[in-house]
Parts: sequence; structure tokens; C-alpha cells
Amino acid sequence: MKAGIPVVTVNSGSEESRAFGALTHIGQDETIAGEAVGDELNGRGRKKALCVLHEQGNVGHEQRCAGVRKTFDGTVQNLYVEGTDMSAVQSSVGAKLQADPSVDAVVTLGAPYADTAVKAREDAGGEAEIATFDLNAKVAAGLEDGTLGFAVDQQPYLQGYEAVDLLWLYRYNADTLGGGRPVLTGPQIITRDQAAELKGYAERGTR
Amino acid sequence: MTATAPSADERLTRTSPLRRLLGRPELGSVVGALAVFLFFALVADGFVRAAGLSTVLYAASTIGIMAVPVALLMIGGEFDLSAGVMVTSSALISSMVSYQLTANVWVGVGVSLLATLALGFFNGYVLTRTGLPSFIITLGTFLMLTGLNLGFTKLISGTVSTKTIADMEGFSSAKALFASVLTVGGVDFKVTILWWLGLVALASWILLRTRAGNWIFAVGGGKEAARAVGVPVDATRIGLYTGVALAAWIAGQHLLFSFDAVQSGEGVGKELTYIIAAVIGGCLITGGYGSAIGSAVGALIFGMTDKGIVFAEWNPDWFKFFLGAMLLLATLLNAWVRKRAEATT
Repeated sequence: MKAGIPVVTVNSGSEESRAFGALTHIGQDETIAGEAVGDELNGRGRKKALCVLHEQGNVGHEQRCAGVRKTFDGTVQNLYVEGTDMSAVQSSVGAKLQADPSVDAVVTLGAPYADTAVKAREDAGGEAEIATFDLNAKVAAGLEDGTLGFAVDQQPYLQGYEAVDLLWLYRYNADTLGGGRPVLTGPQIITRDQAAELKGYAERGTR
Repeated sequence: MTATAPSADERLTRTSPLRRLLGRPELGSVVGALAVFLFFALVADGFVRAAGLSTVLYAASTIGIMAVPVALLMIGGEFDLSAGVMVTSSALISSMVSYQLTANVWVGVGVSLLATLALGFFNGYVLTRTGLPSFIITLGTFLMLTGLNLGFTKLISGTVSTKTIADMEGFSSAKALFASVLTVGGVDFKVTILWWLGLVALASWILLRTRAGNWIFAVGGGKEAARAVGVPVDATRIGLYTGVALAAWIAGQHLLFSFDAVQSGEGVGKELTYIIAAVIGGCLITGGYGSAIGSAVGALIFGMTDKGIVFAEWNPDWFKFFLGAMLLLATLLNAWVRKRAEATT
């Protein structure tokens, strides 16, 4: 910074970016993403949601669940699971769904956990809709075949791409973006309609 | 000639079955398990329903499969900190070999078996050659495997997880063996429960009925003394580590065929859970004492507590506190029962 090198910050840390003196912050806001999930669940007529946190103490995860809680008209319950053990995640989510059959939506905070929640629902029975943060090829396939309700993507590939692009634009044309505020690449709600198209992009690793 | 009958050798006196039962290492933990079960049966609605018990047994079985060889290893006086990530390594090897060679998944499963056994052998061999504490050696393997899991997965798949192999040849037959669901009386049970029970039976037989079992106790009780009386100490310890690797392979294949794609970061921290299960089940941390059945009861206590708290719907923020407190109480009860049992024999 002192040497006059332009800096663009990426992903998390939108608060610190400006104080640091970065040109722009390309990233995401976990609370806003959570709020988008809450709105979408309202639109789908859900009443009781379970927010599955796979890392205890992760601030971003807490913000996502808090965001859901803020906009969702129904109730939201948190469930902490052991993210490094998929079979433990499956049995914990399964146990929760059995303990409270009125849960009609499960929100996972990472793409791999969505598939595990689907398996837990198979174990426990019931019709809970499963939604997840992040996108991968498997999530896209799940959206396509209807086992998943929707996904919230923050386009992490675009964050990296745009950061380099913005540095280039700054050099070439002295452009900046965001007007001193963070530029968000998400949340983007993805449903069955976009799944087939995005699946190909996820497989090649750009979504 | 005198008429007095020679008094029987005290080593040959028959002890009553009750006394024998009270002297078993797993007794205390069985009482602890019953207490945990009754507790959650009272406070949690879904816990005692068939589907709830099936969920709890699944959770216990995935811990228990690994707790069995870890218990044997601890009876033999050693630790294995690499046991958790070795499960992930085994699953990753199997998945990536099959995917990269576009081969029948059984090829990957076979290669994974050999590679995982080699990892276990490596642990045991380095231990016996260097004489360093197993804590340090397996800590090294733990960190190296954690790095290799991520490094190779990213190198080969380009992401942090493997590609799905669900559409490959042999997948359904391998899934049937490692990750199927059996319906008994209308209730679904995971096949891991059978693997778990099988391993417990096998390990109990080895420990109590074979010469190798005596060697394990002897090595754990005091390796120099064991060596002096002719026990093959090094072979026993290498065998124990290979046993952990074998179970890691079984658990790893379950992981792969249950979820068909594997996250490279999984398994970190699980090694402690296996050790916990073995210790709750009556294994001494210092070696020479414990049982395979005890490790199963320990896994059951852990599984019941871990899922019971979810069934009871206690405040999730305090989950780990409840887990720790329940395990501590169960173990205190174990120790108390064992002390009482020892006092009466």
C-alpha cells in the first residue's frame, strides 16, 4: 500500500477493507446471504427451519444463520455438527429430524453437507425441504432431480476473476468499482430452472 | 498313610460366574451405558423409537469399527493419532484410483486395501525401528496424511473433494457390502453395525483365545519382560498397527460408498473419539488392560450421548458441554462400579 501498489481485497473482510485503504472489496456478506435464504423460505411457505453449522465458532456461519433468522417468518433452530465426519453429520441431522418432525426446511452452510442432509432425510423420513449455501456439481444435480430445494451461490470464482479484472481496469483506465463500498457477488438464489446450465459450469470449476 | 486330602491349588479354584463377570474390564462401562440409555429414554422422546435406536447404532458403529483395533493397540501399550485421517486416506485412494483408471471400483477398493495396510505397517515399523514414542510417530503420520489427503486430491481432482464415482462399474456391489441398509422388522439398519459386531467378535477371539492375544497383553503390560520370555514384541506391535489400518480401510470404504464423493479434509479429530471410546470402555491409557467388547460399549456410550442430546433438543449452543459432562459422569460411574467390583472379589 505504502509502495503505491493498488490492492483489491477479496471474499470476507469487507469491514476492514476500507480502513486498510484497498481500492475495492469484491466479496460477500454472510448476513445478507442468510436474509436471502429466509426470504426464499418464506416464499416457499416453510414454517420451521434447521440451520446446520458444521464448524463451531465460525463467525461467518453464525452470521448466515442469524441472517436467515432475521427475515424468516417461521422459527429457526441451530444444530452444530461435526463437519469433519460426514456419517456423524448424517446421524445428527437424522436424529434432529426424528426428534422434531415439524421441521420442514434444513439449511446447510456448505455444498457437501447438502447431500448428507438429503441422506439424513431418507433415514428419518418426512418432507423437509433442503437448501444449501454454495454450489458444486453435485448440488446442481440435486437441484435438477428435485432432492434439493434451492442453493445460494456467492460466486467465489467471480470474486477472484473480478479482483484481477479490476486491477487491470485501474491500470488501464483508472477505474474503480463500488464507490467505496464492497462489491457483492452474491447472494444468488439458484433453483431447478438454472441447475442444468450451472451444472456444466460447476463441473469445469468456474461456478 | 494319612487321611487328609491335599488342599486344591488356589490357581485351580473355580470362581463363581458372578465374580468372574465383576472382574471383566467392560463391566463398569456396561453399567454406564445402561445409565446413559435409561437417562435419554426418559428425557428424549424419539430416542427409544426403533428409528431413533437405528440412528444411534449407526453413529456408534462408525466410531466402534475404529475403536476396536484402537483398543487392541492401547492394550498393547501404544497410541495411533493417524487413525482418523487414515480412514479418509483410504477412501480417497479407493475413489481416485477407480476414477483415474476408469476401472471397476473394486480395483480401487483392492489398491486402497494394500495402500492402507502399508500405512499401518509404516507406523508399526517406524515405531519398532526407532524406539520413539508412538505418540510422536503417529502424530507425524497424522500430519503427513492430512497434507497428502489435500495435496493429492487437489492435484488430481482440482478441487478439495473427489469426483463422484456413483455411475461407475462395480459401485452398486461395493455399496451393498460397505454401505447398504438392511430392513429388519420394518426398521432400517446400516450394514456398518454388522461390520462393527463382526470386528468386536474377531478381536475378542484374538484377545482371549489365541496366542497373539496373550502377546498383546504381555507387550502392553511390559515390553521388556515380554521380550525376555520370548514374545515377538515387534511383530505384535506392527500387527496391531496393521489392524488399525484394516479397520480404517473398512471405515473408509463405508465413507466412500455411502457418500460417493469424499471431502479431503475429513477425519481430523476423529482419532481422539476412537481413543475416547476405548478408554470409556475400560482400556487403560498405560496399556496391558482392556477389552474389545469394552471398546464397543464405549462407542455405544459416545454414540448414545452424541445423538441423545440432539434427540433431547437441548440448547445447541451448549452441546459440547453436555457431551463432555455426560461422558465424564458415565466414566465416573464406570470407575465406581469397577472399584466396588474389585472390593468384592
